[in-house]
Amino acid sequence: MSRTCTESDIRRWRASTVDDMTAARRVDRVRKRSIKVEAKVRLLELALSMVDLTTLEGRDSPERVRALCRKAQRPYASRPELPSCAAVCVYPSMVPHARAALGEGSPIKIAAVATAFPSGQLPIALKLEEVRRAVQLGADEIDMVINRGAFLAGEYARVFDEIVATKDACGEAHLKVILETGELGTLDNVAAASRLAMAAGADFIKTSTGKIQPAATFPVVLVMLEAIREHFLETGTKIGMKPAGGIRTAKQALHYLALLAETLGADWLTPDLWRFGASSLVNDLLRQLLWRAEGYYQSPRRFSVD
Amino acid sequence: MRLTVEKTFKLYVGGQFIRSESGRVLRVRSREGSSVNVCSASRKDFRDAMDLARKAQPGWAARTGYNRGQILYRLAEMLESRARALPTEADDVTQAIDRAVHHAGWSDKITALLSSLNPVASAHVNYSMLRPLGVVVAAPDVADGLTGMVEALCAATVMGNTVHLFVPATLGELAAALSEALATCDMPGGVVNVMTADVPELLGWANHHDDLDGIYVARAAVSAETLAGIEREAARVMRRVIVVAGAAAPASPQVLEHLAEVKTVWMSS
Repeated sequence: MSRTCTESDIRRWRASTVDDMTAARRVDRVRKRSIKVEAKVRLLELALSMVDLTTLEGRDSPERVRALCRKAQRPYASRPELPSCAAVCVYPSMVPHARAALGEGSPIKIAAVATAFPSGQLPIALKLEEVRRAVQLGADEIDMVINRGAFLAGEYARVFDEIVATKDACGEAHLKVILETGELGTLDNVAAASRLAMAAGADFIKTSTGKIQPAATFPVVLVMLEAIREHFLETGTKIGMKPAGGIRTAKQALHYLALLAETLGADWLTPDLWRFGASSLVNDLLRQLLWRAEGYYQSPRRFSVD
Repeated sequence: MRLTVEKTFKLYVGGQFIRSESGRVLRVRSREGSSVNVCSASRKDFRDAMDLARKAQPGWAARTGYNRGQILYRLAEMLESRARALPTEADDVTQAIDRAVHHAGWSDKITALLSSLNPVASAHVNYSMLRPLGVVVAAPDVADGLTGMVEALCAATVMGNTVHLFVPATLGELAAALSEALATCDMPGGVVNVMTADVPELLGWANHHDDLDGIYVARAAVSAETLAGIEREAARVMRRVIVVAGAAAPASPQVLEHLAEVKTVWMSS
């Protein structure tokens, strides 16, 4: 399907504005909601099954990626009944190692960041080649970054076309579009970028690379969820959401799920439509789950450090 | 006629004066006979404090013994400057201040005293030295007043540990006065957390927190049953339990040694 964007599309994406104060107030209200104990345990397990276990460091090595895959398959060795993570998220060069560790047909997806992650500052032809190679190597999902420089300069059509081209290069692979909200500056920009990305063919929209502060914040996620709702009401297509960066505690994860349930409803409470981009979050989720199951707070030292 | 200024004494956690997340407050009689409110720490307060103490511990242990001693001496100075305002007996105040000075003096000497060069039957240099336990809970005896609290916190911190002081609400006013001294004595946040609470209840939660490395308790501060519970749970995770008679005398080097681990190193000579 060929996708184009017109001046009137751009005006529509930019038209409705976000009131920061109202967003902050709504987030505060959701974060104060109490969650009952039984629901909490189920939500913690759900959150565990939604994690894109991530390692995106210069020092990544094949062994580190293998360890990450083992952790994604079985987050805590002595509790095999706990769900596995949704995916591992790695650099393209690490995709073959992840595929070898997980095997063909693994329920755990392999997500590769591409398009000159994290800055996105490469000619488009090279970015598309990177995407194609990552998919060839075995990536199920591609996490691309948008061209923030072009977006902030008002070249929306260029950003749009780049996403469309990347989507084509992905083929069967799912496309997650990273907006890098920490660089977009305002919630209005976040809303416009979300609408643009969804119109261009994103399967997921994602807050951040994790390399820029602030990364995922509650107001930003709320605005993106509202954009997903608008898109669903207009087109009937369900787009997924992935907050990433700085999500370290189970409490944050529960607050995000509460925000999700209140904004988009229970249909979205599935790893197909919501992911957490995180690594240390898994240990805190395990810690809370073991506390609920055994009555003892585990020492953080008892969990593997990824 | 004046409005009564009613005070609520807060917990001192991570260098901040905070209310309990549970909102629980106990009403107790102050030394002057009026009724005051004291925040009562909950399981979640303890859990949060554990994270802060764990975070603060490596930094505190990495300071030189000399520097830790300076800070404990500064605590003595702060208590001295408030001596008259502290809600306890004058003797208790002077003893507590002397105790802080005593431990400040130990801080750069205790490692030398308790470390050793060990004779071994091979061509190795073998030596043992002290490393902090980590994070410690201390429950001093109420009867020891300020001296009990200062003794417990100094003994734990001088060995490089971070410490949670569990104090019953009846001593809430005094605990708050001590916290104010701690907040102004250059002690980094999280090294000493002062938590007023129902002490046996909070000790129950401490027993269930496997990140805790030691429990220092005055024998008279807890019932035999509570102490048995502490020891049973400690055995489960090999946590150190240090039972002291009280705070009449400063901690002996043997007691201080129990607040540390011994690390032995073999080096080929």
